[in-house]
Amino acid sequence: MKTFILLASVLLPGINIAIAGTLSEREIYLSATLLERVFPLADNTRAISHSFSAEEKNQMMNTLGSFRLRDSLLVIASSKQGTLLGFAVVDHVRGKDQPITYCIVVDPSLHVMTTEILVYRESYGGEVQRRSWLDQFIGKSPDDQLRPGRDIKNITGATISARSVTLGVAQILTVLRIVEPRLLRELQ
Amino acid sequence: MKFVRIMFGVLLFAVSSHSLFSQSEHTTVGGYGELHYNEPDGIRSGQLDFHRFVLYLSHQFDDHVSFHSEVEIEHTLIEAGEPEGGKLSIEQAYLDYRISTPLVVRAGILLAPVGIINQYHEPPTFNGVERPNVDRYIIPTTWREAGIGLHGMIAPEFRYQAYVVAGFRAEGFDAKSGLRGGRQSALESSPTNPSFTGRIDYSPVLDTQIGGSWFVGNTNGNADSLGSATVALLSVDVRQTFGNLELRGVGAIVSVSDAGKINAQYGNMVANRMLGYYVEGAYNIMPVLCQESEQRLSLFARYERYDTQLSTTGFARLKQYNRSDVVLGATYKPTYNTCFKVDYTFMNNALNTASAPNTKQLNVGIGYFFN
Repeated sequence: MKTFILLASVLLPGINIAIAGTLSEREIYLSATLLERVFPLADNTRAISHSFSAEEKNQMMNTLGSFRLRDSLLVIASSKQGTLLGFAVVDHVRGKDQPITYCIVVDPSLHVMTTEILVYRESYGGEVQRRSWLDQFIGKSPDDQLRPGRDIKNITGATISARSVTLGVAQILTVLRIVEPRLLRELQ
Repeated sequence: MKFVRIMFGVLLFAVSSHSLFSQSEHTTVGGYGELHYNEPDGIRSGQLDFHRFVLYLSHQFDDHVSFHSEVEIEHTLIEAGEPEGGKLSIEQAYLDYRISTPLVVRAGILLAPVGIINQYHEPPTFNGVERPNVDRYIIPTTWREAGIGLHGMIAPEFRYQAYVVAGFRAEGFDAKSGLRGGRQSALESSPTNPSFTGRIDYSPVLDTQIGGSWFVGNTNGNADSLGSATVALLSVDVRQTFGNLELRGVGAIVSVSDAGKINAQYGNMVANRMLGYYVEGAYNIMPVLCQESEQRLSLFARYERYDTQLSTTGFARLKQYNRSDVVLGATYKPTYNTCFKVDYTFMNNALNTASAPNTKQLNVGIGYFFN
């Protein structure tokens, strides 16, 4: 398996950030600034890579099917004086034919605090970036149903993008519920 | 401001493991299609036709450059020397170079961004088996030309498109179908009349989409005898959702300057003004039938008016081309991207004589898209 380390340039004055993986520097930077906004009192923000255990993979396979199975999840967590405030997960879903990069921020009980589209590439469907649409996810947890067009509104002219992001958020929440016990220990 | 320390440890990730969609090169395949049954008057025997079979092929080269195409077969079969057969065509084939979200360069065979259906024509996205006639006779859908231009999103509620494309050829205009026969469709097209087309999309709230679009250009092919033969088309479209009720409307007006000179040269009886509009309301009754269902069953009604002879120079208006349609029907969508449709269409014209009678038609269709 091909692995690599990518050391990013300095993105904020006086702060060294080392990142890796398929997220671009800009995406990491955007999600870190998003966390800063959501948790202005945080005194520590760090990224961890959670590697899925065999048991977690099995559970994911049973709940989600194998079509998006991977080996690890990148989580960026904010804490204050050692207490976890919440964390962000960045992921991509496919729009009509290009990836949509989005970020969800959840509190330690896995309730969505905010959702943001970090990079939108397609020429249609950009309405999913609207605050009024994204705010529908606030407060949702893995226990809530997130059915496109029912629990989360569709958008005329942006059906594919709205659907993809809705299913993406639902999937991430399901994954978080499965990895919750181990992940929260790792984040302590 | 409180100093926030951001410290990321050095992390190891597998390139392939983080996500399905990295910014690496990839190709996507998709498509749409529709099978129609059309029966005149709903009494006489009709015909079954696999009207459109379309394949999308897209490729993303990197995070900024992508290619998009649509290849279409109309009426299933193309045979050499058979004028009655189908058609194979490239509906779109262009490169997008995304400099930034508000600034994307597009070049290739692209769609004129006019009206709703010319841009969004996948069968599950509109009601009625056949596309609205305004989108055939006034806005000549599917309308594509070779060209280059810019598009982008200035804010989530504001988008624009602006292109220079090959223009119409005046010799193809006619009384019945207006501009339709003048399209070049990037088939050995002449660039002698570069034309300007574009669109502004504004969405003040999530449930409201308003679009304004235009197409302006000469059509004389450098023949001085035609004057400038300038075509100008202006269109406005609105889409509005109130819960289970969906409303949409399109209006378009066309002006052809020097129509008299065009007609003197080609005898095609093109009007110097054309007008078309439609309004449609659709109500999804599925929540009434089954609250938990994610399927949709919409009942709809559409009124269309389209007149390709609104005003003429040098000859009396051909009133049989002042037409209006009423379409009543239902669309059942078991999934968001598949549909079963039925409608009954009343097609009237201002003349209504034996040679140009009012007609009725029963239409049944299935459609899909995927990507």
